[in-house]
Amino acid sequence: MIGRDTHPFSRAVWTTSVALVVIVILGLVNLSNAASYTGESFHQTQVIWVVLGLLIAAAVAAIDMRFFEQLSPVFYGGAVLLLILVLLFGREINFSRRWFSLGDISIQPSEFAKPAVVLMLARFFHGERNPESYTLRMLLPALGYVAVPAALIMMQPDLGTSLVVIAVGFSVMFFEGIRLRSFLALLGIILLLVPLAWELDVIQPYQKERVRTWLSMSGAGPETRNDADTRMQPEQALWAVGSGGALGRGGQQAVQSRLRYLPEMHNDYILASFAEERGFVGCVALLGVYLALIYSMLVLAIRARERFAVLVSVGATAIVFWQVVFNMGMVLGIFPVVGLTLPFLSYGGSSMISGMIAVGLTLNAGIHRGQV
Amino acid sequence: MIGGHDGFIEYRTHFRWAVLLVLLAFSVLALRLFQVQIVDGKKYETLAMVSHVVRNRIQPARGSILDREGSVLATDVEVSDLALVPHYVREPAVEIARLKDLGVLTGDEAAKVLETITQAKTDKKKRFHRLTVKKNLVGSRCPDDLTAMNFDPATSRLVCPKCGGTQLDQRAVVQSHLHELPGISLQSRMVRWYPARGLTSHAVGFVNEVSASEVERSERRLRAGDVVGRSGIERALDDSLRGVPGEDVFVRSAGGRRVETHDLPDPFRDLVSTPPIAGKDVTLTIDVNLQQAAATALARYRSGAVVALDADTGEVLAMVSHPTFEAGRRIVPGAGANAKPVPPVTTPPSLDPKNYAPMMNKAVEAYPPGSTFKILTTIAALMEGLAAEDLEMNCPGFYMFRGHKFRCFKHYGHGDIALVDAISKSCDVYFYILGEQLGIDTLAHWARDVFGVGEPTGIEISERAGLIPTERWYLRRRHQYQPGFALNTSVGQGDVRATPLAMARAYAAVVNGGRLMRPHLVRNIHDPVTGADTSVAPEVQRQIEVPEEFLDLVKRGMFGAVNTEDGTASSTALPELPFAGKTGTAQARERRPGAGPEMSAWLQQDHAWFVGYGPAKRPRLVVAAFVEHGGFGGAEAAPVARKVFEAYYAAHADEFSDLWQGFEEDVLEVVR
Repeated sequence: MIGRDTHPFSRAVWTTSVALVVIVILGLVNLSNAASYTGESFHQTQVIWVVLGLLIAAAVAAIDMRFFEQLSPVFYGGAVLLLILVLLFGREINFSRRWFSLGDISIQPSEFAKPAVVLMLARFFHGERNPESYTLRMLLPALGYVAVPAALIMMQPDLGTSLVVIAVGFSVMFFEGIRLRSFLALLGIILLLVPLAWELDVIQPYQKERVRTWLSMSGAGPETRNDADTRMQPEQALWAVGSGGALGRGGQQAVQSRLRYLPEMHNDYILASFAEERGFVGCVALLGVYLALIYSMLVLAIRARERFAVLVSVGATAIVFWQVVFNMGMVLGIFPVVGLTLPFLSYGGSSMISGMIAVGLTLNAGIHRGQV
Repeated sequence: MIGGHDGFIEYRTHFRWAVLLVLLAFSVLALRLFQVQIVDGKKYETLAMVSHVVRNRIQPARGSILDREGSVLATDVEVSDLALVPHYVREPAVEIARLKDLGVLTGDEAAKVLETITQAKTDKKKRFHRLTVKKNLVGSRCPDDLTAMNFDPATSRLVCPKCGGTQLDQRAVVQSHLHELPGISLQSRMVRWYPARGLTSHAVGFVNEVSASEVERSERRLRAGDVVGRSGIERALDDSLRGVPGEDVFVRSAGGRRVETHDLPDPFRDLVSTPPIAGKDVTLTIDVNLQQAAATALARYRSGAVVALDADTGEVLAMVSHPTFEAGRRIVPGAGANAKPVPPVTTPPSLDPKNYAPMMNKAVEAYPPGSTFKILTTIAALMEGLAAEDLEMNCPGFYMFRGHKFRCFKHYGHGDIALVDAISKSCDVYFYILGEQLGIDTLAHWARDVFGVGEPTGIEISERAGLIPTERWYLRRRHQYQPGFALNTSVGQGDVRATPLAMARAYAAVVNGGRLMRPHLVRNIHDPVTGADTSVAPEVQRQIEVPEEFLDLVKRGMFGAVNTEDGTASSTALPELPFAGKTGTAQARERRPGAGPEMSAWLQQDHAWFVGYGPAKRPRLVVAAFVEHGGFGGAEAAPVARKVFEAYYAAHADEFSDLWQGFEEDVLEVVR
């Protein structure tokens, strides 16, 4: 018992690491195929992000967890500040301000807000000593920690990331154990807020259009007027996924991607390209690897000795989990279109590094067993 | 083995819930993947294919129509339209001025185009629409009639060999300056060109675009913009001429780029383009020189028709209907500045050809044939044993039948007259009597069932059947029958209607030994793809069993009509190489609503007919000449036929060299 406990690298650590490496390699291969269709070379840049990400993950895993606990207000404050700054000084692309430009590279602060929120929440609950009586009023600060960055991100606007932040916040709260009554009350508030947000145009017109399109595509809503435009992207993605069939068309044989009917195919829609090449079998295998990663991350979380480490790990796992679910759900037409990357597969530095930080935090919990 | 810390024991339950949630979410994703990829995979793949695959129809070149010697009567010519997309015309003023300097646009045109561009540029949508600025840049062809022009190196202009006009090759000029004319392009398309202009319009016919309802009815065979033959050979042989459209199949990428299907995986790779199959070329039996002679001969009249048949084969050597129309006019470019339109046929200037049914093919339209019908009456009477060479009758200038006075055209009568003379002099009384004895049904039997007058001849193009009335016909249509109708019928009057073509064919049977031929306009069909030729063989519809001596009697009568002093067409005789025939002057008084006094007077006149053959001694050519409301057949129609015979003899002089001598003997022999 003791020998196993002191062993720094448990099986779950290995599983997490191997699953991460497998996904990253899959991602690079897939990205190079995607690049072959358009003649670009983002997979080469991605290699840099992968290497940098892995180094950061290792660093995060190695650093004492107390460092994160103590500095979590700083991280959180920094992230919120960046979110405010990006609204003021960010580069506007496609009518939204999500990025800072630093020379050739762009940084997306919302990606880093996700681990920051997780750290802040973990610290908050770690400080609470009365887990049995989380009343709604006691949860108010926690809700605030989630709501502030979520609102700022919504203002960019970036509905997808904002939803992930909210989902991650709830995941942490759920795991910590809020009462069913409080949970239902919160759910009720959110359900009330959605139509309010819709009416007050907090939800942007283009986002509404996406929802309407999604409703009409799934047969639940009427055909919208400018269907042809808004429908194009999700529809082409679905055709691409369907074209993959059982076994897929094979590497670099994806016609939808080849004909460039998949905009953002290296980014949010990378799954469509992957699905057309690899088919149902490949997609299920990919799901399996993600499942292995997420499950082993959860195991690492539950094995941590310290409440802070448990909650950080759970939050980190939730980041990866919700991103996968929302992204795949969007590509497969289960959800309306929300701009979200698929962790470790989509092209992009911020997303890659943010994901690596999340995995690094869980590995940290697994390696140090949450010794604070 | 979870945790070692008792304080966090509550997480175990939450851990299980979390794992359950993850499994649930991933199961939903996997199920959705199963649905999209396995269940509906084919559907989505098909949707993608259908929306990306572009199938462009490639028009095949329509086959040409040629005369028997290979002169082109109808063919496809590529012309270009000058077009522009306003949005992409960067500096309209500069570019349009350039086009003006190059001589492509006139000052007025340039101003108009510039205004159009300026307007269109302000419209968000219109500025991307392609505008046709100037139609029909015909390249190195004369803009008037599309004759190929010759390049004159001295002036570096093109010279038309026909009209002598000079012209810039506007298409080449634009082509070579396209690089300095952004937004401007040349759009080429095919137009049907009829080099013979109006000369063969009725036989050749014309084409035009299909209507929307025709496209619908054609079951995808036709599409908007396709042309189909509307009359004549263009219509009759439309399927052969049209060819089979090809299909250019490719995949359009999101950027609109063309991707060849063989670069793509299955099932795209299986999509193949097919080249169009060019239409077949049709060579007609028409001889344009003979056609021209007939058209020229008819030109002085208001309305008429000529059919010339090869007596042995039934080939139609000429088929003229007057006045004519010019089919290409609606698609051939408007006359250029230097074009001097020379109509092939001149009509009296006071008369507008439009009033005389120019589109109607009068060669296959039915009219009362008048005395030309008497040949058939004669043969019927001979065959029924009611007439003989020495059968004489007395013609006092009329024939009293049941209280009705049937007049001979010669009011003071022919006196005693025998069969051959009765034909030559066209004595009506003689044939009234034969008609009375034959009865209308026997007459109809010989004319229609034997000689094919009053029934369709079977020529490729559409035609009127004509009519030979019978007792039954009268009872059904007029509810009464009188025996006197037989008398009218025997001289080709009353309700008899015959087409010039049917008359020519019947006469051909008389002079070729009794073979009733199917007249035909198509000589040969050439498949440019396989190189195969399909020749049309002469087709005997019926062998008519009439003794040679009877035919000789009739022929002598027809010889006399032209070549004796008292013959009805004696003034048109060609003594050097005689032809023979029968005149006809058919009463055909008409009234047309809205006709002016001048037109009404014309409508009161008789139809003039002449159907004959030549050379008399060795018949090769049968000509039916018809002048609508022309007057006396011998004076008006026979000269037209004579012109055709002259032209035919001139072209075939070698074949008839042995016949030039001794024609006087022939005359003497007949006159006796």
